[in-house]
Amino acid sequence: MTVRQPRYSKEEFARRGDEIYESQVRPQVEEGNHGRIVAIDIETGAFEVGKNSIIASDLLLAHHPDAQIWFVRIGYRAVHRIGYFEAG
Amino acid sequence: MISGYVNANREAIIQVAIVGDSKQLKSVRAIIDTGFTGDLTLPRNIIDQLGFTLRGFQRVILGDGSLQYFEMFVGVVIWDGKMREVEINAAETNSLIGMGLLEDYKLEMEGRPNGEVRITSLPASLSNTV
Repeated sequence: MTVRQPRYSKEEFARRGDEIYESQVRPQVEEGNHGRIVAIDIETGAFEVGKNSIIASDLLLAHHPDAQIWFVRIGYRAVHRIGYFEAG
Repeated sequence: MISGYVNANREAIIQVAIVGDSKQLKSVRAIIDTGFTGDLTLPRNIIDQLGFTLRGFQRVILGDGSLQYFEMFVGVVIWDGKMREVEINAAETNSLIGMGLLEDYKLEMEGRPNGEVRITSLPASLSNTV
């Protein structure tokens, strides 16, 4: 298995990912895909939609094996919610 | 069936076997957290030990309403006797089992110390598609 290294900071993933999602991806996927996951390559803008992050990213990596992936849950602010957190 | 117990701190605990990249097994004690919508969180040092590959980044909303960026890895666990590919988020808390792993399973628990936790598979669902 190839070790994939991120080429950007997480903040840069979020910045580029959100920009691509809002400008290019959202208009194409929003209808009929509420709650599904889109995997976006933040370098090329290529993307795939799936039931979960593994399926969406498997589809994307099949044609963009070097993708730098940012995930969005269509129609939501975040991909997941974690109820448990350590305060402070 | 997967079984576990409720501890004195009101946490529902199960033991999960995780299959590393070179097929090594690691047993992890995890808390069932129905407020977590993903599959599994593991501390970063365990993810590194198991050799999982980073898949990408996700935004996650925490219990206090704040947003954070989480790394997402793909790994394999033995779940109900079978190998299952799971989404793993790196988080420096106790390991958590979320609603993603419980999909198509029934969770029952006795809400008291040493109470029994039982997770059993549900009949196949039509929602289980791409």
